[in-house]
Amino acid sequence: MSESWRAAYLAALRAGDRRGALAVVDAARADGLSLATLYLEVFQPSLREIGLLWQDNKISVAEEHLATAVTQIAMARLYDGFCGTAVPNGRTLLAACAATERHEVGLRMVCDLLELEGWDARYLGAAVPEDALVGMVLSRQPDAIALSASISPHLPQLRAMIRAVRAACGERAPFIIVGGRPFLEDEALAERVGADAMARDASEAARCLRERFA
Amino acid sequence: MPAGTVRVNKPRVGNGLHACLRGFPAAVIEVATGGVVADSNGKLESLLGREIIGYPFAELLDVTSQAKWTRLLSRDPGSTESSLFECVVQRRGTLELRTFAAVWGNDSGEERLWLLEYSRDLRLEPLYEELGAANSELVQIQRELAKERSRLAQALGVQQSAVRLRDQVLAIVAHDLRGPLDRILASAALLREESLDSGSREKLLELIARTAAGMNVMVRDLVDAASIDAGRLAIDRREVEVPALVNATAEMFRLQAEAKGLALTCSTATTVSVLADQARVLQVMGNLLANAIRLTAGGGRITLAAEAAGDNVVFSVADTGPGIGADDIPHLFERFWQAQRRHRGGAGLGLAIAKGIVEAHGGRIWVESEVGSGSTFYFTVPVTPMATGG
Repeated sequence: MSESWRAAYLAALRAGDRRGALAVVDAARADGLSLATLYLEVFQPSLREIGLLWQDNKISVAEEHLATAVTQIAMARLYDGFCGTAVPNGRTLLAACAATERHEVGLRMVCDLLELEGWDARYLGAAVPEDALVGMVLSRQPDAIALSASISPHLPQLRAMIRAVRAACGERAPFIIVGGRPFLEDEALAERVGADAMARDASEAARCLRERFA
Repeated sequence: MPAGTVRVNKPRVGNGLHACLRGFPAAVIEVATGGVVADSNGKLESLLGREIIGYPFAELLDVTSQAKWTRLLSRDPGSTESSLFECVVQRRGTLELRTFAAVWGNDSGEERLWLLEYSRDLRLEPLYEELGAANSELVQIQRELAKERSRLAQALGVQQSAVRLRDQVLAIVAHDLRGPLDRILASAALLREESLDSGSREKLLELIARTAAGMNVMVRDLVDAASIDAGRLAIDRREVEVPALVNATAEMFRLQAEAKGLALTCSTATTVSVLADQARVLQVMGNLLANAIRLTAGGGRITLAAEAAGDNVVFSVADTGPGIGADDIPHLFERFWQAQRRHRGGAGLGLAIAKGIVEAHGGRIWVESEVGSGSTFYFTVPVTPMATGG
């Protein structure tokens, strides 16, 4: 069922048709497509396809950014609808990107997927200073932290963020999961930056945290 | 050849680029077959801070762009179509997006690829950073707002149901007060009859006094519930001996229990005293006992007990009544919960008040019960500090 919605959504993204893309999302929801399916089988593969089109020199980076922005809008509209509907399970997540990241969609998906299951997920966005992150961790005492870096030059900052959290919390540090392209290319990287786990995409991150805190 | 013009015999300088391209404000690169940089106007070198002539162009690119580069190089042979080539170059630990026009051509029989950088507005870069940060902030704000809205909607729902419940209880209380009030009015009217003998007159006065006392209890409950709600229930703590307290309560209800054919027994395995408001603790035990007597069928048994447990005395009222369903137990001490039940025994304030009184003493109250096996209500009251361990 998600196949045709994905094709329609991707076509709207390629045409730069924001209203058309949002109409596809509304129609898919009205047709009974679940939020998780919409995220993992429509948004995620569509954005991947857009990335490949850029790699193929078929579209410009501006078009890729527009596609991402449209998806961010779609997610914001969906979030407004489902926020607070799940029965809280007492678990909390803090999610942050390394500085000046522009690839935030994956991390937002992790937050939303877990919120659907009752987690309280706080999305801190990009460019969170280390001390602000540590402050949040100490005051909120989350069960887990999800951090992402889409390019390798952001790794030192990511490592510094993890180090700061571990220094402040000691043995009571939350479970730290990382994601992003550099981690796909080097399996051992997650451990080297001090993380507890690595996820290849949003659904893997959500599954890992779900199982860890079942 | 016209005078004043100079024919450039050698139209290219260096390894290939035209002289005018040397001064071009953006990068111009000539790439030979195999992807090795053959010439450059120096602009990309300045940006990257490294030599590039003689090196594979792919070396300058980030991983995703290397794949793009390979695709660009593997175009159909002979095709001279120019195309857009966007790529990310690695620059001293950061990555930068650059856009080139990729133009294929033939130079003295050798295939060449020229990369001509599109001019860029340098002011756009910081603006783009700002835009990204602003977007991130907007997303955060939107999420927080959605969370807040959902919290407010839930709080509003709780408030609305509390108001509905209060209205319902007000109607019940008005109804419950109406009955005794009518009885008092009717008795007062009868007392005006001159023909009434003194025995009947005495009975009517007794009825008025008893009915008014019942109304007084209902009004007291409402006032207590409001005080507990506002957190200002007055507790006058004094040292109270536990066995005396238990026996006094049992005596207060003995006649009522016996009238219903119930056996009421006391068991106090402790001689300690508690620091408590005697009247309030009596009110709690009285409420639990009255409920037990009301709900237990004739022939049943009610046991009032107290025993020391650490820093507390645990009081209990056990009955052989019908018991309480597991679904009802969590709601039992909620205010007005009883009022929503069809077969109610009152306005539903008794247990909520008992809980308020016990908690104001620093104790807790709970019930253990099974349908068909009776119920036991427990509550704790801290022992007098001096008596601790004694």
